[in-house]
Amino acid sequence: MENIKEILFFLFAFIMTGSSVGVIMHKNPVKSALFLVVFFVSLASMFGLLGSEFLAVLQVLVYVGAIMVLFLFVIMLIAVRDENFENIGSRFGKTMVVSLLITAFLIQMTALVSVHFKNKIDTSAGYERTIDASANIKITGHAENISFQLFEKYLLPFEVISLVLLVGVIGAVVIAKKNRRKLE
Amino acid sequence: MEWYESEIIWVLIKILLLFFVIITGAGYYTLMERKGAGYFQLRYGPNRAGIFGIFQPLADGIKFLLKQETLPKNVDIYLFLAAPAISVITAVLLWSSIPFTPLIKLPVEVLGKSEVNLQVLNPNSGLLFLFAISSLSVYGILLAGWSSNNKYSLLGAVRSTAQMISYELSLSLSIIGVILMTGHLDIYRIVEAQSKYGWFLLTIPGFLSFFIFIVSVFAETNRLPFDLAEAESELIVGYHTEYGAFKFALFMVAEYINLITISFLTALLFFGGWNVPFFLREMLEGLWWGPLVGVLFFVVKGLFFAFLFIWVRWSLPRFRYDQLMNIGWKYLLPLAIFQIFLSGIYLYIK
Repeated sequence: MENIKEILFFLFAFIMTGSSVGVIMHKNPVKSALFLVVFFVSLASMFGLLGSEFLAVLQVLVYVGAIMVLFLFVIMLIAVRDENFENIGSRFGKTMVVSLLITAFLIQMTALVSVHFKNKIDTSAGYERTIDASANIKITGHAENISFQLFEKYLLPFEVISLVLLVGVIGAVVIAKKNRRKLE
Repeated sequence: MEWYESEIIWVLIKILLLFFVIITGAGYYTLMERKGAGYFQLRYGPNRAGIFGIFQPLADGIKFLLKQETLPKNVDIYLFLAAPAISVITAVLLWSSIPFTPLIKLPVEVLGKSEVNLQVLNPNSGLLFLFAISSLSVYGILLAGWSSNNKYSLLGAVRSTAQMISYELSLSLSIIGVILMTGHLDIYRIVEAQSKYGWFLLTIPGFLSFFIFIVSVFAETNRLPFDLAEAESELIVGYHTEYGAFKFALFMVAEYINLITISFLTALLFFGGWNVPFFLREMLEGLWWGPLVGVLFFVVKGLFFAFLFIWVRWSLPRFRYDQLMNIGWKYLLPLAIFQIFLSGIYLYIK
């Protein structure tokens, strides 16, 4: 079971690295945003692996389901064309980046497998698991725990943060309104 | 270790069973819709394939499979092909955490199991998990509209995305009343709580939240009277104009699966799920097949809501787009927030 967890961790880590490279490298803004969506989904799976299921679900619900949809929406509405952006790096460079990532991933996986293989033969080898956090963190996964923490222990910081968000929203509205008046 | 002791095998069996049910269910739901449409319009509906058109979904499926696969020019090929897949995947994934039966205690141990229920996984944050998955279904529509390189498709996709974002707010808020009254996100416990307190529909905040829920659900699933994304008369059919053959079938299947999911979810959240009426409860006490009678009630409730979608579709005309947005933001959202307060007060008094 732990083996599967470790393999999944490296798989998601690989996807996350690859997609975050995609976000900054891709010429097309819509595709860049989609890479960010992939990144968020694999980040959520990472939270899930660490036993924090609630956080994983919230990550998908808020970032992927709401914020990124709005991003995509705006990008599609203003219809940005590919030609507006210059191509970052040649085709060769891009291929190099992708192949480097894949090589790194393969090396990681073979290292992982070989370590486990060694462990099976020689149990005295001083190998420690890198991701053992799941045992301790399991309890934070529950919605009740998180809400008790937020609304009892950290009530004041929580409210202050929501106030900051409110200020941000009002600020955005004010800025947008000002520009509109000028245009008219 | 025998094969049946492995938990993974059981999960796989459940998944296969549910998948079969989903696909046939979606197929026969289309038949139900066409028969219903025929009934509402005083005509027969499909009646050629088999008696009462019972083989019509099968014939439709074969037709979609045998059609020529066409690919329009200048489409973004990866996204164009990914979009129907995303729609179906999110629709099917929703079924993973819906409990279709309560825990059934078997009289004898069958293959080393004494308790069975038909639910693939039971996430800690049950309802939130469902909403997170269903919020992903926007991507199927958005990508389909954008990648097909067609103005009508893009307009349809943009329309439906705006609509879904607006109504998702009131949809998620409407659930809070139910969650407050149960104190749990787990659907299983929400249903169990209703055996104690009665249907949530019959409480004051519960009724309000059901009202908001059912209106937002019609908008979320892009059904008439809110089907502006597909409006045949103005947008051809919106986001799936360019899709043909099996890719189109996937979109249709996803839509009908979503409808079935929502109908069963409504039955679970507001209508007591598999709880039986009080006069049957004592009779079924202690019988091992007692829960199965409850499941029968649950399926009947679910099918009633499935019929409700058809009923409304063929009875009401379409809204105008600005009216739709007005209803969403100016009426439903404040009402949903009011409903949260109301359920708080209700709980306090109780």
